[in-house]
Amino acid sequence: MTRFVVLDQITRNQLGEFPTVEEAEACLLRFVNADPSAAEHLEIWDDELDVRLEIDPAALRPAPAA
Amino acid sequence: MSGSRSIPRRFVPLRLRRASSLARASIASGHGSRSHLARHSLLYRIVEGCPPDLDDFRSYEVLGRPYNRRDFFKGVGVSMRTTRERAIAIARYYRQGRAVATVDIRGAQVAWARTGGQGQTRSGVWLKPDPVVQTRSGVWLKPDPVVQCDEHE
Repeated sequence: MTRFVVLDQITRNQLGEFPTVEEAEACLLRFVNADPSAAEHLEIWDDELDVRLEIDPAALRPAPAA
Repeated sequence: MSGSRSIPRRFVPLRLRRASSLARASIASGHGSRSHLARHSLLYRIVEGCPPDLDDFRSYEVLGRPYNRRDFFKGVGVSMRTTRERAIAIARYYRQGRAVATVDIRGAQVAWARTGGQGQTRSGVWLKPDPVVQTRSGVWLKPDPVVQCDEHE
């Protein structure tokens, strides 16, 4: 079963593994919201395909309220 | 970030244990037969090289990096593995470090929980109170919990 793993390359910590990429992105976004510089060292990997996903944290941000 | 914050009760994992009660806890929870951790009290941390240094054990909290309180344990903890083989595989797979340090957490002022899913080998170790900050000798812990370090590249 595919898992999406959120990694931090600064602390070498695994911040979570999730069954869907959306959940992994939500985890990553929480850290980026707390510290925008975290985007530079957070990664999401597809555990089954053995690939790092290209994530644009800016694209994950919820649209600001009108 | 303050080191004296209270732990949100709802986030305390059911299997959170003090290191000193590791073996007893594992046996009591029925995982004794398959738990490397229960038998040896050893965990494996991916590090940059041998010998490891303090930077190899920095949490978000120690680094002063902000994080959401929802991620409290991820913020004050460091990831470890319960088998050396898995740690090496992860280090290679995710390009996280050239070596794996074997850590004996008996007697260390830490709390731990198995945080991976069923059948996985991920553990979180929460350094609270933080031994890196509290040490006065410049040594990470007394006794130093790193008992072995192996480079895999």
